[in-house]
Amino acid sequence: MIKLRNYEIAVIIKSELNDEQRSSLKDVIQDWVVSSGGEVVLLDEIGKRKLAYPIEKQREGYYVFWYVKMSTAGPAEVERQLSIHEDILRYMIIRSESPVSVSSSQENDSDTDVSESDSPEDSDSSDQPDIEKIVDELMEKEEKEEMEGSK
Amino acid sequence: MAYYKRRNQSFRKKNVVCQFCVNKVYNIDYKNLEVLVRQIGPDGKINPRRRTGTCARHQRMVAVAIKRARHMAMLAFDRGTWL
Ligand SMILES: [Zn+2]
Repeated sequence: MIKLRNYEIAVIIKSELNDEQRSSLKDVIQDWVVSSGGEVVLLDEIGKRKLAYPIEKQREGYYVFWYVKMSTAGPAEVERQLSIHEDILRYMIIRSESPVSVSSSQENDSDTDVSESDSPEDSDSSDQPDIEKIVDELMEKEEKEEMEGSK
Repeated sequence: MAYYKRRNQSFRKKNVVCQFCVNKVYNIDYKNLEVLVRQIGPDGKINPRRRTGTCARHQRMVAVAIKRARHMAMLAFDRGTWL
């Protein structure tokens, strides 16, 4: 049995591509994911955005994010494909704990964490209920250290 | 004298407890720039724990998120130009 993990793929596409070219490139990228044994859970686009620093002399880029499930061999394969495509300015593949973390929500972090996650992740997230305890312990430890430090 | 005063102020701890612990934040998304921008100084550097009061666990999460955001050109490596 192949274990699927949650990954997040972030890609900056050259902004000079027109809509048609861009959507075909997005299809190509999704094909890479599918052909390496993965599935796309969610597609999230920020769209055209000014870059914080120029990349390949470009000042803006088109941001696309995929939340995917892949086997552990998947990211390397997709990454290899992403790295050689010339219309992709920047890419990043990271492990993501939750299957979907919606980018726009910053205030309701506490609402989204456990409730909607589906069952296959339960084996992974067995430490979920303990986090609060750990955080509390850490806080106490930190405070103790601070008190000692300030003396 | 003035130098020491200014130095002490800038190194003074603002929050005693970690703000992420208070708000029960379990993961920090690198795309959540509203949060990350508050964790960097005017020069674009990550604020040290001694100033923000962030705990070790959350500071590590902040640092990773900021570095990811920098890689994706959402934050600058230097100067505070993130728009
Ligand atoms: Zn904390």
